[in-house]
Amino acid sequence: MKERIFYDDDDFERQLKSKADQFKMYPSDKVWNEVNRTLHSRRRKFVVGMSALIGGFLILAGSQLITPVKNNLPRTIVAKSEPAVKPQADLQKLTESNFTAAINEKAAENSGKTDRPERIPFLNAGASDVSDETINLIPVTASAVKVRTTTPDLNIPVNAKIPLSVPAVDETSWAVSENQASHIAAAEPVAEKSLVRAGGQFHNERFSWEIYIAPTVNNRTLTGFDYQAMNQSVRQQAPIMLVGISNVNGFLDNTPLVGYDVGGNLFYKLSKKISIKAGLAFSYNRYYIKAYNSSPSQLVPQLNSYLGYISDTTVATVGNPFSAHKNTEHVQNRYYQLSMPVGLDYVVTGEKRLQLHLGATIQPTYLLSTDAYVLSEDFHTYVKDDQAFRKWNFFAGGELYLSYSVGQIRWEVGPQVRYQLLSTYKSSYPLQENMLSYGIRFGISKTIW
Amino acid sequence: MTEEAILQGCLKNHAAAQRELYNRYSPKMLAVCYRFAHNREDAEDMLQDGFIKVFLQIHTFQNKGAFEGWIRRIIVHTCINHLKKNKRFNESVDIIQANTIPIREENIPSIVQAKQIIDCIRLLPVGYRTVLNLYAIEGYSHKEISDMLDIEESTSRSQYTRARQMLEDILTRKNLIPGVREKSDRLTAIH
Repeated sequence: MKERIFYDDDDFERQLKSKADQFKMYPSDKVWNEVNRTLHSRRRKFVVGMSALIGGFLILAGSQLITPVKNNLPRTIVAKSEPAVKPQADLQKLTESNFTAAINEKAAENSGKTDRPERIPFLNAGASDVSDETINLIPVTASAVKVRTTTPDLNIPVNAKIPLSVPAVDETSWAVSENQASHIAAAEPVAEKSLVRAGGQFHNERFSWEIYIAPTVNNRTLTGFDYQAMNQSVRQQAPIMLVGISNVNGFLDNTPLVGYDVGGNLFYKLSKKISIKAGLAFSYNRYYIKAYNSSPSQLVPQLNSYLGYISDTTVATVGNPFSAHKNTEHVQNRYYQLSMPVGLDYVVTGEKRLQLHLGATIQPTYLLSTDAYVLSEDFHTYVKDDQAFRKWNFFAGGELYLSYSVGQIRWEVGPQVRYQLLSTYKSSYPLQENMLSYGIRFGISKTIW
Repeated sequence: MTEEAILQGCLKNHAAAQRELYNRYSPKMLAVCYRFAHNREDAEDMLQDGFIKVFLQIHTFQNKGAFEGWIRRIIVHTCINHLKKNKRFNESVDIIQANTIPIREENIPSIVQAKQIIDCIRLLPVGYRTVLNLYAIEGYSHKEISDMLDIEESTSRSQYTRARQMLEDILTRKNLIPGVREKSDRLTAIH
């Protein structure tokens, strides 16, 4: 508001203002109730929403552990060759894509028939020269089955793999002529591959969940200190060690402390080796700051924070060996964060039972709460200043872990690291703090469907 | 609780500190709203929205001026936004029309002088009232008022002149000031 001296030349306005300012009215209770509800419902909604999400995830995980998903497929599938009924001329042009499409089409037509053992037709050369013999029994957990023919004179694949999940197919529609059989034989490797890809086990087990906990060691790095940029009055207050120091980490004395991450992920398998994952994680990070106790009278005058007000909570001077204060304090900075990691998981090596995984995530993170101190403007004291902290941040995460399958559960263990990409503090604060945490992650995962 | 402690508590989103701040300033601020508003209900709506803004923006307060002044500016801007939103600000009338506006006798109490003045101000058409409130009571310049209300600076001046003339007339008709005295003596008479 610009300065305006109007009361001096107009008594009417002065008296009008004076009278108006004397007037007071008392609002009804509903005004405060609405203000209070509006101010605190956001946090309440956030907490309730996140609790529901995490609770739902844990319930799902728990129910999966206690009551595994039942597979509707039969324990065995009987593959059986049948007399041919009609030849299909277009099999002359059998390719990977149309073979797969045909399988899928037949599967769709026969959906709902998978509750009982079904006969899987086999490519037949003639009307009656293939016996009715049952050619294989396949356990459900196997990824493919071998099909054996009793027709020696035809060049029909003897090791064609048939996916377990292929539903019953019309047994009368898959006969081919002898000539066509040779084409099929030529196409066999492609067909084999297609079958596995089209309806194989991993197609049915693309989703899985994971829960984990990771004790972590947390520390920070501070950057952005510029002694030359400090104004003269602040320089005079600053500890003498700051002169000529370009790296503020060299001045401060931090000690890592143990925290933890706990969370869960949902995986979607893109291929045999690569999955995408997304989830929620709660992180508790903390570290010690070494400081010196000081009397309040020595601290108060120097506590102007960057945000334009004087903080009411102060702790000592920073680790200044030239300080006259003698009582050493270890002050803890604590951060409570909720992350939403999204990333990729890659199976580096391993077979079904034992696998080595590499994971990488980007983690949008919300700072739920802090119990932390920041350096005052003159670097002489630590002050509590909640408004200095950035609410939203990003972490980059990485993990390398071994997974071992026991029954339907995979047990996981391996190192993980998280690095905070943006500063803990808002941009108005001159220093940048980036958190680093590393630890060992323990988890379990299970395929859902 | 000191103002500094209240401020710190509000910065931490503590409900108790927020309640304390509200209790301390809401009576004055409701009076401000009431001068702009059509009725008490509208004034309470303005107050509610204003205090929500105060608490949400409290981290922007920089101790450079009085805390009450900072709150008051937010409340005033909230009132203006309410008036704009409700399109009541455009209900301005010509000074000739204004002279014929009936005065609601029942709304003017006879005991509390501050309230008498407020009620007389509230008898003004909303356009006049807004400019008068902003210029004479809140201390904004005509330039600032023109920016706030999206009107010409000259319009603000003329609106104020007419508003003041009309208010004097209302006060005279209410026998709160003598009609023929010098204007500097008028309000003194009701002390």
